Amino acid sequence: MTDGNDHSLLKDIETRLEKAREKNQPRPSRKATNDSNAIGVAMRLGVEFFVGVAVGSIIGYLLDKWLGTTPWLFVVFFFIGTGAGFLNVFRAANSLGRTKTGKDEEPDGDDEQP
Amino acid sequence: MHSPLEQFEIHRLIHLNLGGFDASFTNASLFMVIVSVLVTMLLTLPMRRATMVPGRWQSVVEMSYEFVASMLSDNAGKGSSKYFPFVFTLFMFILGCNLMGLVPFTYTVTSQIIVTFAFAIVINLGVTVLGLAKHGPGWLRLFVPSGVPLVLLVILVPIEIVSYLSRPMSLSVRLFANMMGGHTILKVFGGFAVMLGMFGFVPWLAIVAVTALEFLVAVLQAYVFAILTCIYLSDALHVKH
Repeated sequence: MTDGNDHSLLKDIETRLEKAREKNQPRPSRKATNDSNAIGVAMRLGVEFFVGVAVGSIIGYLLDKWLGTTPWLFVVFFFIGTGAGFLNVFRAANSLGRTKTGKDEEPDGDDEQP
Repeated sequence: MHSPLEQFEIHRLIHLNLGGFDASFTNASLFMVIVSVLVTMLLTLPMRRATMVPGRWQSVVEMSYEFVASMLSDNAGKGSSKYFPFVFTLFMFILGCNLMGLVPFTYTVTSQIIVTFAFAIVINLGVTVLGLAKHGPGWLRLFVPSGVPLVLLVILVPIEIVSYLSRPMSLSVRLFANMMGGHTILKVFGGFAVMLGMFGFVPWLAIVAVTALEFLVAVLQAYVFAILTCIYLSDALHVKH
């Protein structure tokens, strides 16, 4: 009699464990991203954009100094940098949206979608 | 009144000059050493008496291990477990520095952009070398988006390259700006609390709230830093088509 009792007890524990696991499973990765408030997201995107423009401009400026073509490469790379900034923002926003909604996507899929 | 930026000043504790380089041991270096020692102690001491059913400290260690391990395998895919020690060390050190800075009278190492930039540049150079070593020149296809007409490639490839080069900067600026901003806000509110005298409890309440927020930011930024490292690693390990 005690044997059967033990079994049912074990079963009970097992189902409860399963439930607890299910409840806890999706949390760790999601909680961390959801908690990042709107200011954090805004700041992240702002930094992404700024950094693209800044790095582009710096590259243009240095190339100009080196090649002696003063304003031209700076102008060109300023626009390229702006493009890179947009690209950065696009990718960052993409990855933010992905972590929030589609969690079942293949883990090896990356920032950009093909 | 102290300036709110005074907390970020670097003081030389031991003067040291190595062949013209100022290699003095500063307060920043001191706190890096302290954080390294503390993190190492936290990670090794509980595991010396590891039990099947973990105690409090042991479960802290195990949880952080599993957290980073799952982050790495989720974001960098297969073949990435080789780089676990690197990502784990990085995560624990940055987390330690961020949290250490919240203790009064300490120095926040990660509020110096040169520190975060050094991390970021090492990561990006390492990832670039790794990608080239693993896949050869074919890895450079990373810069060529697929399914784009040839004319557009003239514009898009430079954009991709600049975007790639801006990674270390965005990685470092994000961590540095978050840490420095938070600590400056704390100091500014602290100044208000002193100046307002009797009504100082109002900014004091704000300080309590901001401190709580800073704990969140400290953990979150360490997490973001580590997860981006994983994503960059995945770029190096898996060639896109």
